[in-house]
Amino acid sequence: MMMPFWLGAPLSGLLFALGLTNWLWRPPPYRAMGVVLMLHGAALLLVLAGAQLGQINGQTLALFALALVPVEYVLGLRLWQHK
Amino acid sequence: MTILLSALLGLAVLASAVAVLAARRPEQAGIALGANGLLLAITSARLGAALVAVTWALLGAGVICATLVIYGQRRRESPPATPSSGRLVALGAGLLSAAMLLGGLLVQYAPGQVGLGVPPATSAGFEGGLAMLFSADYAPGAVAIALIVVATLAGMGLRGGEP
Repeated sequence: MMMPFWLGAPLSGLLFALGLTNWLWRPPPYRAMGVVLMLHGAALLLVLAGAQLGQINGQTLALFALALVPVEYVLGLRLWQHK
Repeated sequence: MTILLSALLGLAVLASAVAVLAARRPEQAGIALGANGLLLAITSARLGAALVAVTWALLGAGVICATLVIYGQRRRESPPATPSSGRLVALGAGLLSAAMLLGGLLVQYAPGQVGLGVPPATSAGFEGGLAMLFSADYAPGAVAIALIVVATLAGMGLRGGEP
């Protein structure tokens, strides 16, 4: 494993916190981007934990989380655009 | 050297996320978000998660393309009105949740499941604690799904308006 868990876990937490901040305190078009950042943080943590334990489960769950990203992003931007 | 490279990569990921937060125009934020996805693809590749890395790279490129397409159209034409955006997002989130549940049932996979009732070998210290947490059925899956649900609910709260 090239990135240690103690370095990646705070990074994923920071990503989630930045996404939450973006969603809470920014105008509508940026909120979809905040949601994507939150999903990025969760997926990174899953990949890290899976790599730490040498299991495939983390990657599988990360793929589930990443499946939501394009839907959230494109739908969010499109809906704001049509308002 | 490896730790230094990992730290630099982490800093780049963090910087792109801060750029999303600090961007003044949606186009800039979208491109920074795509760059964040591409950097996370590199991170995943370094972690040995090849399939996730490919997915993240495609997503990063897709986010950049979608931003350029959507905001390119927005400059050329005035947007028409649309009804019940919240209902559409709720419908999409519901369909996705149903698809995830159905997929889990089909492949007989439960989040957090390590094996078919076989507990993993535990060790002492931090790794042992993490292994115990991950071996408890549904515990990490519940945390991950809670994060996904928070993000989905946040997406359902999207409202229109001027930036």
